[in-house]
Amino acid sequence: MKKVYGLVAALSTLVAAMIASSACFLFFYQPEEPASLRDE
Amino acid sequence: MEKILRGLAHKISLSLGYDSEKEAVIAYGLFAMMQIGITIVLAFLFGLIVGAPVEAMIVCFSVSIFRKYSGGAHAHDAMFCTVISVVYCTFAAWLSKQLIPIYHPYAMFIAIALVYGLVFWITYRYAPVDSPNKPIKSEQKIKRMRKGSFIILSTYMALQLFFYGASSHWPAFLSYGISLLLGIGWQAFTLTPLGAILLGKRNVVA
Repeated sequence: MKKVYGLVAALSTLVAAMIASSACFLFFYQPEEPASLRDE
Repeated sequence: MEKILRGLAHKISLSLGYDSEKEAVIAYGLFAMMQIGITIVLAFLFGLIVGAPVEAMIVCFSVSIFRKYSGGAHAHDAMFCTVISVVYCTFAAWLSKQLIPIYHPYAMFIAIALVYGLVFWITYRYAPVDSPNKPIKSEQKIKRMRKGSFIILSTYMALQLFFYGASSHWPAFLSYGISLLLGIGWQAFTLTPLGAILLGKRNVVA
């Protein structure tokens, strides 16, 4: 189970980093961005 | 859905011994994947129902890729966001098929010139549009996002002209061109104060 969690964590971190470089979420809802991803 | 994903991120972080900041990043990434996945799958399925799945995907991706750089008005909750995205993608895909019988090359050319002229002006005037949950403050990032928006728009315009030219030989490109036009037109609309009223609150950076 730990391997699956590790994979999910890596994938979601990658997606979060990709979204962080954009102006906003790709669709019409923007949740609060974590402080470590902020590039204001 | 956000609560469920936060719970999952918490479980993963506990298992892997991550701190709260890493947990927030995982939750954010999970939410992004879920929202993007659900919206694309639903837009495709509803596109299939109205007989225009390719057109629905053209609208969906043209909006989201342009939005990556231009930002735009945001809905107040995720459910409303998904509903409005899917409804618009389906409606625009359906409309692009319905307009084929009355399609005229000159009228289409005028529509392309008008829509792109307006979209370039709206982008120059308003982009990037940020939101309270993801503010854009630095001048450098504003310039980078605006430049990215213009590069995307120029690419769309080249693609639009290709669809326009190809439609005289391959009729399928008629509806592809109309759906691309409806996609960028909608995204530009969400950059304006009127779009903000429709979707909810937003901040204007420009």
